[in-house]
Amino acid sequence: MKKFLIESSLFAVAIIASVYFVFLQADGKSDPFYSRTTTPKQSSLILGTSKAAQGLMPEVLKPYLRKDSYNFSFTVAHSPFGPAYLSAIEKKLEPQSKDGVFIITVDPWSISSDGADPNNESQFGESKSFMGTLPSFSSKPNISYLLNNYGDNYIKILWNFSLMQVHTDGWLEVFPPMDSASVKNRTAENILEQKLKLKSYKFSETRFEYLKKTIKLLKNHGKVYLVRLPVDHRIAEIETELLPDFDEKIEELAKTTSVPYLSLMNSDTKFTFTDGIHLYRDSAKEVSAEVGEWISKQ
Amino acid sequence: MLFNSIDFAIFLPIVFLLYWFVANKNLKLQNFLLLVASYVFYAWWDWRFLSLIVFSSAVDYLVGIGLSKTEKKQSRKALLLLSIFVNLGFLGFFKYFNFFSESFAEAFTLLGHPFEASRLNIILPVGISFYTFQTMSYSIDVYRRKMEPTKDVVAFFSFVSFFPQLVAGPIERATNLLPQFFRKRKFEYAVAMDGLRQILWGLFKKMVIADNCAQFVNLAFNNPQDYTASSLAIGVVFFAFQIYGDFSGYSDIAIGTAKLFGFNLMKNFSYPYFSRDIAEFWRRWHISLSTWFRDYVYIPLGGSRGSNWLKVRNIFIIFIVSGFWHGANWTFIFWGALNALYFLPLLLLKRNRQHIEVVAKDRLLPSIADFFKILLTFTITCFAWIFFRANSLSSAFEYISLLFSESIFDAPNFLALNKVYVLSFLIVGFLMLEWKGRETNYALESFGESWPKPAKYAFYYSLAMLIFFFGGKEQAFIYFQF
Repeated sequence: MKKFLIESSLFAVAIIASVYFVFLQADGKSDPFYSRTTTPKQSSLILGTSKAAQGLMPEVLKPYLRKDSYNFSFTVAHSPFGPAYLSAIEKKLEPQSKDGVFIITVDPWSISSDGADPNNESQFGESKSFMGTLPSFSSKPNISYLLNNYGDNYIKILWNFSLMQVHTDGWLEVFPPMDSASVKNRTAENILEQKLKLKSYKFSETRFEYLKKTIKLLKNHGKVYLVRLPVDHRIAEIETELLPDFDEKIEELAKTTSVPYLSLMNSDTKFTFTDGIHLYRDSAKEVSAEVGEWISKQ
Repeated sequence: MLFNSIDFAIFLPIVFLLYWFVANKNLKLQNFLLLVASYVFYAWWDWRFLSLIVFSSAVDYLVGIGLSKTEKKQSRKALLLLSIFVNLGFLGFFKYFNFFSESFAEAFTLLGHPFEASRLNIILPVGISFYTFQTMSYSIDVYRRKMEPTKDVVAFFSFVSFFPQLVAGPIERATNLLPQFFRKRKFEYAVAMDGLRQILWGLFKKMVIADNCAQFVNLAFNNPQDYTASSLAIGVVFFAFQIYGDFSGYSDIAIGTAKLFGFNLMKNFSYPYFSRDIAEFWRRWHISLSTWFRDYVYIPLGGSRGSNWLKVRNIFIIFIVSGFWHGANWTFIFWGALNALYFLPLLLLKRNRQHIEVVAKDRLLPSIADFFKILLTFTITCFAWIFFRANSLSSAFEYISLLFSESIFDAPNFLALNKVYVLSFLIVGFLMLEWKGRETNYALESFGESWPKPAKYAFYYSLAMLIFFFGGKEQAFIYFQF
């Protein structure tokens, strides 16, 4: 028995140590979300969905904000406004911070929901994802994320040919083929997909309330800014169809919460998108500078 | 609790240590510990269904006691029928009620008397098809006086719920497993190491082969119209490896885990994809179920004795019942009937037992004739798997019509095609190891036997890391739903 216990324990230890070592190698190339769950708690955050994840660069914002910020945006499936995202933000936030800057990006999808009752928060899908279940967003390696939420074979941690990278400041850079045919195809696919989504998505009063709660929470830790990022005009039309009075709603919210609001919706011709929704890196740089300049003037 | 989960990785060492260090001195205590551990293991899914196991165990325990107290033929028969009625009643209620209700409604609708099928909104208790068959075998064997009934309630309840094989077999016979609960178990280093090795191999089959195949199988079977025929062919072949890796992997983990506790479970798979005809395939696939049906259904029906008509009838009954055991769906019945059709010519020509020995015994490679026989058997098995995997008969026929189309010559159009290549490479490696070990109980049993210890451990370490690196997403075992 002794021999068995020693040998099997040593074997188990060797395996656990190797797994731990591999987990330590996981980084911004391993998966589009993981590294944001491993960085330390932050004082200034950029929040929203994948539009913000790819469209706002903390490095470009830094000279305008005069501080570091961290892009803590995910996707519309993971980080629409709701209980899960709010709880994740609370976990990521440095509790002592008082003079942070928080850029909250908004769009109609992030305050809408599908299903029979868009206001039933028990039906919010993101609550079952890592956004709602992860105990910590600042541990490295984040074992819980890697064990329960990593979406691919672990070989990808070491052997990676990924077309994306999350930078150390949380900004997600993607490297898709940018020839006009590829862009056109991806845009057409997204238009089709969003039109299909229109059938099941409706404005969610509950999500809108959570947006208010998010603003309220962050105002205790610094200044909050609301931003609507640009999209291709065909995507914008679909968003308008989803929520025609979106801008009025947000302007009203901005007024009642005393938070500045910037909409960049009518400036799509100035920018390049990878797929009609997400800004390509050069345009992300320009938009980040524009947002930074606007904030510095407030 | 899944074998391929962190929960089980914590549960198993705890039970192992308690079993050998705390309860070692007392056999009854060890059995009691196994009973508690088994109930915890089962309750991890849904504690409510524990009552079914307890009730089923209690009925068969009391039937056994009752059988020991009466010699009257009629009373004994009544007791046996009670056991069969309760066990099959559970199965019928939880597994088949909706199927029969809907099928009757459809039949009456076709006859011009439409009525609404009543449906029960219930979930199928995990493993019910396995433990009910196991307990029934006890009552039948006691009735047939093949074994003495037990009065040891803890041992009997532990036998019914023994956690390594509780939810997906092997379906143990009381004559093999129950007596082991009355014998003092002795820890043996070689047996325990063998158990760990078999667990490792089972995890490889499940997590690397089955779970990765599942991704492509699901794509192909869920939306066959989106894929070329060559992709659908890959989907079928991958399903053959998925179901084999999944189920035989489970059996390996179950048998290996039982070895850690000093128990010996029956072999459930014996390299079925190296079979040279369908009769050999069925002697090597899900052996515990095939032999259960052989002993308790086929032989009582007359087996292969009697007229050709009786032989045909018995074969169809056994295969269709076996198919129906897998699930309440016409697809399983069709799958069973198709296998009966494959099997019948061999039986009628008395060629069903021409391949008893393992293929290419004591040789490195099979003969060319054997190779083509294996290939043919695998191909017709894959064809039958389409019915097993499809959600309905119409989906199966749609899949087949798309499979036999011109696009069979087009390149596969799975998005992650590079993953298909990596997986194919892993399957080839897996088949080579299985081929090498085909004369043993499981592929790794004697692999590297003569190697020095460090080399052996280096190999096991590599295999464990392969499981870690290439393991698919944690998925339940397919046979849990049966």
